[in-house]
Amino acid sequence: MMQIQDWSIRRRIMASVAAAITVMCVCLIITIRLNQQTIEKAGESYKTNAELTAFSMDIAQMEKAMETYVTYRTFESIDAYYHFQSISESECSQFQSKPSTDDILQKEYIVNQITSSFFSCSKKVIAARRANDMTDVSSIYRTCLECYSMLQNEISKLNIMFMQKNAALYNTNRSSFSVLTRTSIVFISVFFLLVFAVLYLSVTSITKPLADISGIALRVANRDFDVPLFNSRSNNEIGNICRAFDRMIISIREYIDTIWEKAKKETELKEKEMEMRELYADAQFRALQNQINPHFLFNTLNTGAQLAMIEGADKTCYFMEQVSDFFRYNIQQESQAVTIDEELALVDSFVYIMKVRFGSRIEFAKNVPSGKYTQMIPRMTLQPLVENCIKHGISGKTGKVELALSQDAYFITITVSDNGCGFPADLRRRIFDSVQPDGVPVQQALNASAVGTTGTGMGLINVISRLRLYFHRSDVFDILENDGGRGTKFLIHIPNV
Amino acid sequence: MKDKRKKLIQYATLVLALFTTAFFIYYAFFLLPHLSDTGTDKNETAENRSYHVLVIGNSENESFLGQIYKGAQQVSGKYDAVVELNVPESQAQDVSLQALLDYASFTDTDGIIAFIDTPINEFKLPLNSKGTQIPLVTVVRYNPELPQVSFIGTNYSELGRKIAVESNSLLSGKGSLIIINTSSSNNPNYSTLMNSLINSLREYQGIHSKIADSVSQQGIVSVEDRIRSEITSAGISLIVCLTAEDTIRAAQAVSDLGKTGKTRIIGFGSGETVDMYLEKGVITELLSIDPEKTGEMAMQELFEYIQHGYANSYITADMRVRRAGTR
Repeated sequence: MMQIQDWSIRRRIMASVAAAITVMCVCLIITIRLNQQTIEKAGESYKTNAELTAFSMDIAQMEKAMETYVTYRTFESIDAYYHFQSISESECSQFQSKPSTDDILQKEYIVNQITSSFFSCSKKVIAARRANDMTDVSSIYRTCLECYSMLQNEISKLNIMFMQKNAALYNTNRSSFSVLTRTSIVFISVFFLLVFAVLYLSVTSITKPLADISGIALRVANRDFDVPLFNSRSNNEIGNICRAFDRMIISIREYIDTIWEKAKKETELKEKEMEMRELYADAQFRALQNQINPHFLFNTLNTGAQLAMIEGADKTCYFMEQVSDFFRYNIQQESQAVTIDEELALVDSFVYIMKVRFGSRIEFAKNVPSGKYTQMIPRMTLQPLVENCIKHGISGKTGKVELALSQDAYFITITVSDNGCGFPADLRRRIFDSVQPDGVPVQQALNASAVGTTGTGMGLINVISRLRLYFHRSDVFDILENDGGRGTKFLIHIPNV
Repeated sequence: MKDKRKKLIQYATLVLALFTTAFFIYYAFFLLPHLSDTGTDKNETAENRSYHVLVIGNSENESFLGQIYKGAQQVSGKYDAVVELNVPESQAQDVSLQALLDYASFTDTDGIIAFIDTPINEFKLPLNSKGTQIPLVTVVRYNPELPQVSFIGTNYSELGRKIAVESNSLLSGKGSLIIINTSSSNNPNYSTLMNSLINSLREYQGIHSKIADSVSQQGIVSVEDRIRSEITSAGISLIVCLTAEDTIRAAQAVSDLGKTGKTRIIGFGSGETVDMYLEKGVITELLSIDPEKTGEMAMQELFEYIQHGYANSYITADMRVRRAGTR
């Protein structure tokens, strides 16, 4: 059997409204009916007076007809007499037929008795008049009139008694009206309140699941999927919506879980890839550095410096020390990055060595504003550039190499330039093609043939690659034509941090 | 917890609705019909009887007949009868004895208790619907010409003796009294009464009596004057009245002269006025036949006749003595 909870919303609302309307209608109909009944009863309060008055009038008509018959002896009068006598007898039969202890009933009995006497007398009068016995008519008619007079007198008394009783009843009924009215108002009010309460509870029970659904939907809309399930067991629309909502929430949760799983896996993969790439770059970086890290030379030079010092060759010793410092710097790889000041010191050592070697064939100018430059750059960045400039700047004439540094609030610009034969555009293109924008060298570039047999390309690729990897920018290095159209200028443009 | 409370409210509302509906139905269909009534509703305490008895008389005796009616009515249930008092309440409403008897005839009454002080040649006795005479019981006033079933009246000889005893008692065996007698001298009842009273008073040596009697209207006035002069002369300490009318006149005179309590009155009869003077103490003692007892006896005789065809023709009514301050 279908339960009320399983009814459709429309059916439940219609049933509630219909029940409320039915109850109110029944209440109103009963109240109206009771009012009508009471009014009818009150109206009947004077019914006895009306009936008695009608009886009195019929008796009067009968007496009048008798009188007319006695006087004129007409058929109409005798017809009227019998007509009214019949009516009066019928009415009189309603009266009390036995003596009663009740005053009104006793008076009714008296009226009944006198009426019977009047009928008897009048019949005798009519009979005497028919027989034209005027002596009898005269005597009986007088008695009859006396009886009639007494009868009307008693009817009047009875009427007054009825009136008194009915007036009392009318007052009672009037108070009953007011009681009825007040009670009806109270009942109707109570019924209204009850119907309202029942409707309120009914509508609330119908709409509460909707309110719950609305609240849950709002939470879901605000991405809060940790909501309770309805687990509704009813089979109406709300139940269906609740079940659908439950399924939807479960589906969303499953979908979100899947997405989370997938995202997690992707993140893990990406992290692994990044790690691998970093490992790979680090490996490349170390491999490149290792290419310019000749340990054996450092050890040899140290030995030479000691020998020169033993022999008293101070210049040689100083030279050897400079060379040794240069290589020590090269060997020390505690950290991949050093300050610009450290790099500039290395350049000074390198230039000293080169000046010892090339003498006046090299002119080195260093335009660095005084001050400390603690900004970090990759180790062995400036030396390869200076070396490259010296190498290309002194080919056949006096080479001029200039190192300049300038800075602003955001960037530090370091240039190393020469007055050599310039940098071949094709080589420049191949060098920059050999390094990816993120700094990772292209695998083929590691092969020397890709950038040339001189090894120049490999050093620059190394510098470019390390600068890009360190600063994570692709615009940190450039190879330009030197000012004045002769020679080459290497430009390092790094953040001033 | 909230759901439990909500359920409780729902159940309470439902129970309240059912209770209200039940009460409304009870109110509408059981309680309310008893709140309003119609004029046609019968008196549930009313009882139908088989016989109808009339008490009739003129308005002068209305109070006395009222008490007879009361007595008759008290025993009416025993005889399955309804007693009706048909006595004009005042002289303005007064009707002839014949009219009262005709009323009895037209209502076909089963019996009549009457106080008739009219000569028989002035009225016709009532007949019932069968043409036979309606049984008649007369009280107080005996008329031997009337075809009455029974008469219930005063024993005037006994009354005279009783008044003498009461007079002696009031005067404590010594003093003067005046007897007022305005009734017709040819009325045998009052002759008997006077004879009995005077003879009885003679037995008390210390009591001196005077008689004031008159039959004419002029005479009545003279008696009143005499009463007043006797009261003021301080010679009379007791007035004895033999009728209700005389009793009232004497009481008025004593009251007017401010002699209440000093000049005592022994009255006879009954009625509202004498009762009032008795209550006020103007009348010292009041003798009367017991009307209620008379009514009861009248009913007894009437129904003995109706049921058995015979009754006692003459019955003496009991006497009643009431003293000042009582009703």
